[in-house]
Amino acid sequence: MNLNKLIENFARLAVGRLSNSSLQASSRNFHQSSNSLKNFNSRLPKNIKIGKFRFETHVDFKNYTLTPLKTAKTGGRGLDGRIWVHRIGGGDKLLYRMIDNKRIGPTEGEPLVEHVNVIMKDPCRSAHIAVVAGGDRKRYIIASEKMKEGDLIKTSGVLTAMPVRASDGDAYPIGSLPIGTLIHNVEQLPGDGGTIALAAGTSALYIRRVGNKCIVRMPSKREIILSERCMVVVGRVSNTEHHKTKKMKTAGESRWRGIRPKSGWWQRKDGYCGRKIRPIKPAYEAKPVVQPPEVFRWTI
Amino acid sequence: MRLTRTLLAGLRDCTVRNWKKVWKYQGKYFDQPYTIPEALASKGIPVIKVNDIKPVYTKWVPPVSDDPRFAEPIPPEKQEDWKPEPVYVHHDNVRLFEGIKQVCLIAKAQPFEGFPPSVDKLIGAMDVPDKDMILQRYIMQSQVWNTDEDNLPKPPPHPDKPRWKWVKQVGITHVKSTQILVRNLLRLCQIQTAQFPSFTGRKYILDVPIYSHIMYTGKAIIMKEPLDILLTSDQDLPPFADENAVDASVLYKIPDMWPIFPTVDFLKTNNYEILSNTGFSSDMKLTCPHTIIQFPRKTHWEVKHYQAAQIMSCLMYTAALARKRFGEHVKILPKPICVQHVSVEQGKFLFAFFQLNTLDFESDSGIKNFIWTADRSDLYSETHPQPWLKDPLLEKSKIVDYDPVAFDRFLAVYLNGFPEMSSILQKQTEKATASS
Repeated sequence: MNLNKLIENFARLAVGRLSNSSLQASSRNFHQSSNSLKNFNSRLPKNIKIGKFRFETHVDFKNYTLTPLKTAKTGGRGLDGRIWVHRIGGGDKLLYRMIDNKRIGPTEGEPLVEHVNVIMKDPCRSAHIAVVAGGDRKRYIIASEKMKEGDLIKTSGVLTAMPVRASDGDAYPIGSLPIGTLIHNVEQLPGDGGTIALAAGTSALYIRRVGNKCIVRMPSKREIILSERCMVVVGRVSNTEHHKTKKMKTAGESRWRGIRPKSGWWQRKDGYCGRKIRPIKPAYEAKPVVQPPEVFRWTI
Repeated sequence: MRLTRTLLAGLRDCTVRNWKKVWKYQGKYFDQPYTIPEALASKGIPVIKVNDIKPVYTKWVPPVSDDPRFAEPIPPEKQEDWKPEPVYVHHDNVRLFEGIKQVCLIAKAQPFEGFPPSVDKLIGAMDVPDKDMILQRYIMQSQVWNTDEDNLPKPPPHPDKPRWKWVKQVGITHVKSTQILVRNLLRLCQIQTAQFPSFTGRKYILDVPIYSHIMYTGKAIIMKEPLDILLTSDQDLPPFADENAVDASVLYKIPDMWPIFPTVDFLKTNNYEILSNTGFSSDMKLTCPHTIIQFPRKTHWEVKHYQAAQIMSCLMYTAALARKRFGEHVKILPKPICVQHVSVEQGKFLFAFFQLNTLDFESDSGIKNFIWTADRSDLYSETHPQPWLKDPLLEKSKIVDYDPVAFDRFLAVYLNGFPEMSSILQKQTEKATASS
């Protein structure tokens, strides 16, 4: 199958009814965040990202809803009908909830205040999620460690000269926080939505500041250089005892999660999951996506 | 990427490494910058970019214009009732999260617990012969003695067996069974009151369409929905609270919901009309509303959410009626309008009472409307089926905990507004004093 057609078809399936011009953009920026995107180890080029879940065709992602969406099982198959990811099949039905990782507040004046209505579990992720409401809007966010029902959380985009005194669950630009704070839901580029430290119990550490740039140690111990305007949330992610829970009560529990049994002997290396231990890579800085060059379809 | 000879030369070495190498160095084709030749520019010949040329496709038109096979839905922008400014919509799928607290802000109301005193004294005022036998027969008729074979939804997951594979169940749906139960109860109420002369002024209507709105802080909240059952009479209900209580409500301050707006849960639409339709034309008789009965389609809500939906229905209906009676721009009503609401779902009864005193939702000051809500009363309850225990008694759900208090309250709601009840109550008090 032609590569372009393949991507186009997949985007049509994954994203639902959309116009042709916005297909590729919407498949990349699924629900305005790259959180739910995953690059499958496939024969496709690496810059093409594919949604983790497949939805019904009538679902429109431009309209934010609190209603949980039904997802379909892929069985690890791609659009061409071949296996792209092995050992996937069956399992419980999952309802997908639209999580808003864009904690963007007003750049002037008083911060946006939101009320935590409910804290609940989410089958699609390890962390707990919270329903917050402020003004005329309701949304799901990832709950922080000390967040409780009935709390008021702040979101401010004001970059202050003096560091602010932030409490758990508040979102600020990283430049206005004191050095040494534990943070999560970290943006790589300003206004792009949080992508770092979203799993249960994880947190990043704000280490130091060099000029306009802030350096953060990610949960993987690697360092990242951020703009001072990148929004972060103070505190750790909720469900901190997730790693202590017993993973496998029965042999069939992995099948409930949609994982099929593996065969053969897997030689375990010193690192995790058969990987070697390698030195930590140097700090990197995310760069905005460059627009691809123009394609001339009509030629003589 | 162009398929050139050098690229295809890599086919001799069909390894991934070679393919990547060739792709890396020869997989990109950089086009030259866009320039117009001088000769063309001097002649003034227009030069068009290649990508600006768009092919023109003619749209296929069906030979018969109104052929239903090729009918396309009309987009909302092209419908007749489309307006540029959106409004809030309330319907039976909207759950007001904070419940009574939220609906009090929208309706500018003062809440009270329990029944209003005028209805509370009617509970148990009338004896029904063979009440328990008749009620249990009604329950059995609506639940068990029925030949419907509709596909039923899966039971909610049991905490002991969350992953149990349920056998597909057929039977009567919960909305249908509640309809049968409520109509039977209404008939039983009618039999009790058939002797009253004012009984001729009562009737009930099914699926009354209403299309109403209220203006909340400059924005409209509309409701376009049929009410399941509407009990009507020839005269209005007496007000639940007197004028002194209405005047005293000026001092009451409604608790705030900051930082949330009370309208957070409503949906928005651009397709609407600002109407006040109560379901009746002006020349009809017996159009004074008495009681609204609704069967909620959602079964997993909390009690406070059902109560908020009850009050919204009452508010919308009474607002439309007030505008019809006292003019389009009425703020403080010369005479309050009262209505009762009963929400029934599988034998679970919720009673609410609403008194509309004002339609001025712009400011917090001034008189308030009144709300009475009571706790849920169950006529019966149903056990959760547990087929994994292999006990024939627990295999299917059972009807247990019959309690006729729910019907007594329902009868009291129905009896409210009968002028004959005052004499009956007086006789009962006289008897009680004589016996004591």
